[in-house]
Amino acid sequence: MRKLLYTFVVLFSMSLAANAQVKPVSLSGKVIDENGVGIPYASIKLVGSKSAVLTDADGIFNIKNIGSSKQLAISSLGFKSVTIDINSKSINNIVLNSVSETLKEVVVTNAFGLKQNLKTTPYSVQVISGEKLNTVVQPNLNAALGGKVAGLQLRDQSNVALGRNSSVRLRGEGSIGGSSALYIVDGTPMNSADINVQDIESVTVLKGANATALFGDRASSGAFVITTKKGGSKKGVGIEFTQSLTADVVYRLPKYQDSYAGGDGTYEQFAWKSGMPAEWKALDGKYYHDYADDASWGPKMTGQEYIPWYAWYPNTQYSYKTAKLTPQPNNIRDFWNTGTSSNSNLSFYKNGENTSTRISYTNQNINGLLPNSKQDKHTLFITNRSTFKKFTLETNFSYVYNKVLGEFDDGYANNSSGNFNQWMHRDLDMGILRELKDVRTPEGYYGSWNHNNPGEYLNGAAGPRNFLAGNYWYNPYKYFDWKRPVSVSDRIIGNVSLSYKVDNHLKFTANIRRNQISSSSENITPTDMQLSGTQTGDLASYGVSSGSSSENNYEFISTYNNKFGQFALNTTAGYSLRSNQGTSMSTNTNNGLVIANLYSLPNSVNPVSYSSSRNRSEFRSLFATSNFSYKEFISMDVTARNDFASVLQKGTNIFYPSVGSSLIVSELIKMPSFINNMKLFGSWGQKPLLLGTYAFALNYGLGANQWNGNALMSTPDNIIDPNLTGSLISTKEAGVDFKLFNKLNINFTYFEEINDKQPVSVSVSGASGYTGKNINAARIDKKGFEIQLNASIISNKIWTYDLSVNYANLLYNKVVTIAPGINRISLGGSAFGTRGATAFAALNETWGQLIGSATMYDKTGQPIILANGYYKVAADQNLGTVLPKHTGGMINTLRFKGNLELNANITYQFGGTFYSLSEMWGNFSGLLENTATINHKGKNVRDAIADGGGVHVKGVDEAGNAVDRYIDAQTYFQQFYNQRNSTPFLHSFSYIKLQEVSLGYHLPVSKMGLKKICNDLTVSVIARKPLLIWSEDKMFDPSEISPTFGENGQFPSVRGVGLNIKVTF
Amino acid sequence: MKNNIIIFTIFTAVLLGCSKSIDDFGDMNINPNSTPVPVTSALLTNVLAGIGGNAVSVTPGLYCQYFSQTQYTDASLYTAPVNDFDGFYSGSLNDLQNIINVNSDPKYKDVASINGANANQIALARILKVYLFWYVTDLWGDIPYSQALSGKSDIIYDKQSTIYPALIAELKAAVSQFGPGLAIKGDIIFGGNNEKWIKLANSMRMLMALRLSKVDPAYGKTQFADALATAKFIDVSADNFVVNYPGGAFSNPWFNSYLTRKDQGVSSVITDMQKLTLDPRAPAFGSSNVGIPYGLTRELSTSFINNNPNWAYILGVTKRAANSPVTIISSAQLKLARAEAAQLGWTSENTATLYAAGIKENMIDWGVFSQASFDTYMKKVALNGLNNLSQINTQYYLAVYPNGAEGYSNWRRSGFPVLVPTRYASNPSKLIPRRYMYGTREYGTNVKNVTAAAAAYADNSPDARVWWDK
Repeated sequence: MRKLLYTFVVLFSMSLAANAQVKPVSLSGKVIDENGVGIPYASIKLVGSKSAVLTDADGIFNIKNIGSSKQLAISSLGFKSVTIDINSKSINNIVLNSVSETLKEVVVTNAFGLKQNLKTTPYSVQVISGEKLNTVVQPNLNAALGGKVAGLQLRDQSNVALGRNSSVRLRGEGSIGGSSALYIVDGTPMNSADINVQDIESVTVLKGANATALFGDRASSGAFVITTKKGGSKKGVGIEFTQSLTADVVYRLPKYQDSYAGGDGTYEQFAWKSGMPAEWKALDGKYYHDYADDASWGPKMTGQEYIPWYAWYPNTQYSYKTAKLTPQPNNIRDFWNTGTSSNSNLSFYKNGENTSTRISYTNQNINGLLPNSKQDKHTLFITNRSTFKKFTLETNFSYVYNKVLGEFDDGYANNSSGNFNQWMHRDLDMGILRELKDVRTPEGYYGSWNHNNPGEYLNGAAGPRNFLAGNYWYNPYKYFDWKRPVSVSDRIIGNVSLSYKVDNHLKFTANIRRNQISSSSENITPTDMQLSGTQTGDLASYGVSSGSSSENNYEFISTYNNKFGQFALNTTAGYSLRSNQGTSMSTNTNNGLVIANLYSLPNSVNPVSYSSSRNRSEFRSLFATSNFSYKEFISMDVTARNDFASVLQKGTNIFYPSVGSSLIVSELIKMPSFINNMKLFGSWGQKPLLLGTYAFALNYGLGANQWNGNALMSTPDNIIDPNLTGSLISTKEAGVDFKLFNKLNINFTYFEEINDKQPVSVSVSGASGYTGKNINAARIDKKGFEIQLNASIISNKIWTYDLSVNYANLLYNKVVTIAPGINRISLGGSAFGTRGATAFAALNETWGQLIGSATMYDKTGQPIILANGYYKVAADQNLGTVLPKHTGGMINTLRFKGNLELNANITYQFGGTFYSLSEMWGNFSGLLENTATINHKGKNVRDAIADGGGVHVKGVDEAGNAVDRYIDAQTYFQQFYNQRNSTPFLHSFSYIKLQEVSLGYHLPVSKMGLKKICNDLTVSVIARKPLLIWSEDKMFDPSEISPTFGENGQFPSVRGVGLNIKVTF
Repeated sequence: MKNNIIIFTIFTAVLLGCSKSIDDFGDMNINPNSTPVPVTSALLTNVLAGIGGNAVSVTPGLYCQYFSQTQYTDASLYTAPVNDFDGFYSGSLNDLQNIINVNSDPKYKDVASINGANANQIALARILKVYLFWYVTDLWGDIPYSQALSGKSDIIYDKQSTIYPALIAELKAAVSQFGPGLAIKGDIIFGGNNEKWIKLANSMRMLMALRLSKVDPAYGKTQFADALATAKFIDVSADNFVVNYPGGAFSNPWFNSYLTRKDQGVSSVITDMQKLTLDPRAPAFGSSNVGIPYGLTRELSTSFINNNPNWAYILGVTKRAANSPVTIISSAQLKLARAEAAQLGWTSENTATLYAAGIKENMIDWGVFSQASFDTYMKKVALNGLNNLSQINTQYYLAVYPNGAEGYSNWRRSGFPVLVPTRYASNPSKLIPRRYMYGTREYGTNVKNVTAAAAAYADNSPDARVWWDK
């Protein structure tokens, strides 16, 4: 420890010594583009001398000693060079004219706000502008990043689930359990879901340890460094208003069968019996299909007369009347509402001489596709930057309020998609379900399509309820009337940053940051639900939970830079302290409510369950980084960080360095003229993967209830290795970056990452007494390459067309070791566990291997068919990884005459496999199209085999003899569940999707005489996820598979169109 | 320049000031929500709160045809019973091992002794461990035993033929370990009465010995007689191993199972048997006498349920209230076991007397005893010398109802009552499974050892028999 400190001291002494020089004749100024925005890293040469400087990230430059020069030559890639006379000590606002967007210098922001020129970074990095993220309004930042970053896989979510964050993977998976990247907003760590995309100026995306070593442990999967808009580019006051309105509709649904009705084949005749309601006599002798079975193996729908589910309930226009049994091909699509979302942003900025302020307010208001679902989100963001003398004070404040209403469960047997795709009657008329959602018997039971069969009515006192209430399901419209859990969160983020610039070389900065959130949620199951269901499993209940957490960061940073002849040094060192704390509690009633419709905790039938927890942790870090460059063509970066943390084993600390170098070949040797710039870069670095709080001891907690005053305590299931510690991830990277023909930028990066001795919880044989062991053991290696291409394809006075394409190839992402004797670790997944294929980190396999039972094939690829006609099944088969091999996207920007702009963004991925639980049940329940197709004999597979029906099965028997026979359809389609055969339900994750489209028109405000009112008025038509251009699977939208590793009952994908208006005053 | 040096000095001083305690975080990483040392009484209560679950397991109850499924019938059609046993080890067994460890650890044993004398806590935990290992080996066969619960991986499977004698020896050792001292706390079964635990241990020894009637009768006989000779076994209902649920958060599992579901009911095998013999226990065994035909397909069973709305739920409604007890081992059961032991010539007790007493006590336990109905019933189920084994085991089968695991094991051993597999069986052999298959977890975590063990059962076949099942 001390050693490290002495290094700092020596480093600084050197820096200060170098600083002691004779005072020169200096010159300072700023280089800007035609819009007034500072041009970063422009080169300022003193004509007649060898001296040159670069502007900083804001376009500001300082020349220590102008010597005898009379002129400055200013140049920057992508701009026309100029030469100007020196006629004062300060030259403000030297304007350069843009010639190519693609070639312009890019500012990279790394940890602690450190800025660097992309031209010299020794690692692959991409900077996405706020403009590119706001092509259309996406519900969260991750969704807006999709297709725009090389090596980023977007795992998007259906927009049905309001407030659910999309997730991203950078370069496959490096840690066994999967982990997420770090999001930093103006230096403050932040939850990605609460980042307001409209306040973003740019996002710097950093991937490997070589690029993120300074961030510490939470960047183990990469870092997104967000810089917010700091005010307008021009002096004075500006106001901007943006309003978008979007309408969302359900996009892809599975293909259903529309020939057979609900039930299980029986078509029964109703015989009125004494004791039944007299009105039912009207139905005597009529037929009905089995209502109680929630599958669709019922009678063929031929328009015949039948007793529909609703005929049994009183007081409707349909009471006691038969209807015609007809297909309802659009019933599922009809269920979903058209969602509407409104996004409003009003921002105000004021730029003064020494201060700039921006205030932005955003409101996102969504009425969801699921009935009664809503989201209301308000974001207020205030930022100020003031300079006085040698001090600069920056403050940011942000408040986010988010309220979400609705139950967004898309797991097995949920009450929307899980109902429609897994257990349903295909003959249901959605219009009538909607109309009759409040139909209720005099006893108070709400009607359900899935009530029991009339015989049940006479089963004693409980008979009427057993018949009339829902057997497994409610009317879905009523369900979503009843179930409207509310969750609310308030987040406050703020930071104050004060820097003191000693001189042009030395700067000290102190930052204080805080990020706090309090959240609460409330969930009610009404008494009516309990009353109106017999096997639905819903008891009246009330639950409430709340939690709060906060994080404080304190940073002290010193920065020193100087030039010694052709040698430049830029060095930063500091200390940071982070402290986290959180508390949470949740309570809910048990086993029903004593008094109906009273939702309070004391009303619980059984004792209330409650839980509470609190946690604290602290991290202290010393860090330093230096950049050395020589003659602007060779540059070297070194970083070091040493972490001390409460979550480390006592007395231990963790140290990790990175080193990298870049070489601008085009500056070193003469290149053909079409090469504007060529950079070679290479780097290596390490970053830690730390454990969470309280990881080193067995924690014995108390059970929530006592048995007649006796407390309960159980032994934790995970045993802890005494040497458990964090681990280090190492990344190597090399690449080349070309700028060509004044219009093309190509970047190629190859990376290798080793994540060895990861702390993991491995499954161990329960016979040990524990089901898991926390141990440092696992190793995952990744290799891959990424290509990023930016091109100004057309750039003339009428048309400009900019194209940005990225492609990443995950060459290798293998689980190299797990732990002695351990073959695999379950990654969690399906609601039905080993019934279907689930994802594992399996030894010597690509991370995310799906393992399950599957059809066995002989050597010639024929399925083996058992004597009973079932496919022979082999257990424990490797069925492919969930990770796609190829990922990428494309951003197209086409402008016409400067006032019409078309943006179209595409995401794609190829490879990867998912397992669909819905499809398995949709087969089992006879809902999906393939369960009622026409066989080779021209008959429906559901017809009796004797009549030419049945599913045609071909293969070989176990002895190898050919088998060619027909199997009863229900037996055939249910074998996959019964035999745990996952083969038919494995599908490719490959897809190409048109993610975002916008067509905007800048109205000619001057011509229209509106110039007095506003500076710019842009109207855009936008489309969000409008087209799944191609996917291998045709049943589900693979771009929105919702749970982590497969399809469990996901919401349908959604697409939307809308209008966006932006006014600048 | 001077200023620079001053500032730099201050900055360095701040850094160094911080560094003095930079790696000292005090107790920050000690979890405030829990304790690092377990409380033995709370571990015991936790084990006992869950132990009744073993006497209400549905799948073995389906295999021995106590129950039928009403809607999802795959288990009663014998879909592969792939089941993990890990939960027994990592749950109750490890809690019990932990009680033993804490009471043996010089660092903690004194603190633990406020919950009962160390030796007594250990003895009690050993008895319960035997009960659970016995339960697991009866269902799966060869299982991890000698190396189990050590916290180590790569655990071999022991042969059931070695586990049985080891468990019996363990019971004997535990019984002799009890001594004087503070009553054990957290004992929600016998309230810290050591005598009752001793009786349970000896009773278990008798039942385990009887399990070996075919595979090793000589050893079985010795052990049975030895346990009987202690005269400390469950001989009156008051000593039964029974869980008295308080209701509320800890409610009778059958009560819970019907709270929002109705997945299984009494099978017609039971109701038919009871109708034929005018069994007065019928109203206790089921909510009606309409048993569900055993082993129907989903379509047939839902159709049956629809047409017979008064089908029998498991247990009469008063027998599955939230606070109804669950019996795990009873004096009635013991008497019938002793009747068989006498019949086998293992003891000199009177078969007929024990047979009648066992039936009578079971009726009393269910609250349905009347002399008249008992007498009528005894005529229907009388022993005639030729049918003794069949009658005794059929009565045992009824006396342990609805404890499916025990009914299934005794049926496998004795072959009584004679059960016919369902004609709709979906398994390749179409036979009633004879054991649980090793679960997928072991194949993921202990593959070498489970594969070796599975080889003894025709590659983990459910049709293969455990050691004592001849």
